[in-house]
Parts: sequence; structure tokens; C-alpha cells
Amino acid sequence: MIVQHADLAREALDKSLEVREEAGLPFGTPLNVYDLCELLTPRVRVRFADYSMEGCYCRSDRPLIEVSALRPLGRRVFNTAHELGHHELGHAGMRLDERLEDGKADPNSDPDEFAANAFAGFLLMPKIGVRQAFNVRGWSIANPEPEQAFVVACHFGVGYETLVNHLAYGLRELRSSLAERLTKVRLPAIRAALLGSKAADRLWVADRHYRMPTLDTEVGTTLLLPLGSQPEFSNIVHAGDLATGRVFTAVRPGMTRVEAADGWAVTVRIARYQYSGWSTNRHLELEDGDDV
Amino acid sequence: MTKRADPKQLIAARLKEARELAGLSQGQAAKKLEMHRPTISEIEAGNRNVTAPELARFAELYDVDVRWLSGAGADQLDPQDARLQLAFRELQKIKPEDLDKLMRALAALRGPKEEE
Repeated sequence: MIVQHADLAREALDKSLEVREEAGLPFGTPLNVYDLCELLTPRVRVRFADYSMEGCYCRSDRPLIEVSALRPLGRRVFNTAHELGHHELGHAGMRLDERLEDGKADPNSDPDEFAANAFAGFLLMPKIGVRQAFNVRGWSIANPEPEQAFVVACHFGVGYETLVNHLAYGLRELRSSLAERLTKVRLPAIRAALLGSKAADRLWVADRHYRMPTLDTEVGTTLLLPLGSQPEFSNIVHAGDLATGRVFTAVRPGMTRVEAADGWAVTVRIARYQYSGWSTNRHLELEDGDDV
Repeated sequence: MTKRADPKQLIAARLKEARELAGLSQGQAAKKLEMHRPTISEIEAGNRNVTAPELARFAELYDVDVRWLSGAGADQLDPQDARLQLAFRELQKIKPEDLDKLMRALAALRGPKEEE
């Protein structure tokens, strides 16, 4: 059985690399899974649903992934990548996933579920990229502080627990005992450590080492960006400055470019809170008379 | 539920459902289709006829099967449908009301041809 799961993991890794190659994406960099789905042939449609489940994949000439908009942003990303795994690995029929292990490829699970989880982990958090993300910040991948793991999770667009589990069980870079300790740290404590008295319910961090050209978020989320960051439009509003960065709040759907000194820039794409609909419509500006 | 007896009302109801599934407001849909918002509103209320070319544009914008939009097929898929290949254990994992929503969405959004 162990050999079988090793084979599944190898197949999932190889497939994740094939998918990156097909989309013309480098092997080690963070990626936006919704943009990736648009680049594939056939295009894989992704819709955020307003009901509770983890994800659903429907195989057809026009493949469809549904993920619940009621899950946190990072979780939606992982769930989409998991369902994309079912698609890419050729799993038969329609998949309905009510509860997924958060980034953990459980060897006791259904082989297809194990493989889809492994695919999602390798696709979103490739080993070379994860090592670089820790190295460039001068942090230890084998012994990270919770806040450091949180920042690196944001770097890859996934949730904190997803990254920690992938470090331990996917990449084998972290002892499982340390992973268990890290996953017991609650997110409010991490947010408080990063933001102090400005701690918010939802936080996303993009520091100077953030590599993606875009940052996907939703209305109401607090953003910690590099000091000196200036948005082009008022979709995000300045909420204060800390020693570690400049704090913004996302207030309106749409897109805005944000620039800081030394050429750092990112396009922040803001969706309505718990937006449901096609992923391609998630950052549309509101029209007159629309509700946030 | 949509009224089966009146095709105009059925199309109107499906246009509204498809727009909402797509995540678009009436204003956003109107802008993309270069229509006035009240036109969308009137169409979805069943007060204005929709031409075949307009229906095709709606289907493209909302990314739904134009045949479903024009009233063909069921409002909701049957989760026991063998083509869905949903295992019983999977059906047990989701609340009945959420499964209903999923089956409604799939009726509109699923591709026209299923792989065997």
C-alpha cells in the first residue's frame, strides 16, 4: 500500500508539472489557480457556489469545478486545485467533496482523493518555490515561526494549515510533531502577532518578496503590504502603518494596481465578500445600484 | 419553481437564474451586453420577448447551455442519474438543501455532452 501511494504521489507530481508546462508557467513559482484553469485546453470553468460543501468536479466537454464561496479564500484555492486534480488525473465521473483534509494527503483515504490532494499540494506549493520563499526571507523551512508560515502561505495563495501540512506530509521538510504544534496555533493569535492592535478577522500579507503579479482578495479583508505602498484606485483604503508594513482594507470590488518603492508592484483584485458566480466575473466593478 | 405551462415565463426565470449563477448583477449584465438595465429587468420579469440571437448572447455571457436557457431539460438534475456517477457515500456527505442547489446549478451549467 505504501508503494502504491508513493506511485500516486509521483503521478500527481508529474501531472502538476505537465499542467504548468501546458500553461506556460515556470515550475517553481506561485500561481493563481483560477487564471490557470482559464489557460487550459479545454478551459476548466470554475464557479464559486453559495452553499456549503468543499468542491465538486463534473467531467464533460466543458469541464466544471464548483467550490463553496463560504470557505476562506485560501481554502477555496486549495479546493479548486484538488478538483482540478480529479480532472487532470482522469478520475471518472462526477466528484463531490464535502470535506477535504486541509493540505494533508491522507494515506488511508480513497486513492483518487489522495492523488487529487497530492496534485493540489505540488501544483500550488512546488518544492523549489517553497524552499526559495523561506530562503529569500532568511527563515528556516524546518523550524518556522507561525507568523512566518502564515506569510509564506499567503505567498502561495493558500491557507496557513494547508501550507504547514504540505511542508510536513507532502514535501517532508517539516517534522510531523512540529507541524502538529504549528497547526494548533490559532489564526487570531497569528493575526495579532502581525498586526498588533489592528488585528482583523481576515488578513492577507504580501511582503517585498511576494512574487505573484496579482493578489486576489475580497471586500472586508485586511491587507498588510510593504511600507510606502500606494494604490492607484480607492478599492482598498489605507488603515494605518506598522513597522512591518502598510495596512489597507479592501472596501469595493474591482482591481487596483499598488506600487511601493524599488519597483515593487502588485495588482490587487477584489471580489464581493463570499462572491458566488463564475471565477471570471469575480473582480467586476459594481454598477450603479448594485449592492456590495 | 418555474412555470412549465408558460414558455415565456420559463425562459424569463431561467435567464434570471443563469445570471445569478454567473455572479452578475443586472447592471453588470446590461453593461456587458450593451443593453439598458431596465431591459434586463423587463426580460427577467417576462414582460419582454427575447429573440433567438439575444438568447444566444445571454447563453454565451452566462456560460450556460442555450438549450437549457430556452426551456429544454429539467430544472434540476437527479442525483441518482447514473451518468453523474455519484456514489451513495458522496450523497450522504452533503445537506439535502445544498444538494438541491448543486443539482439545479449543474442542470444549467453542465456541458451538453457527458463523457461516458
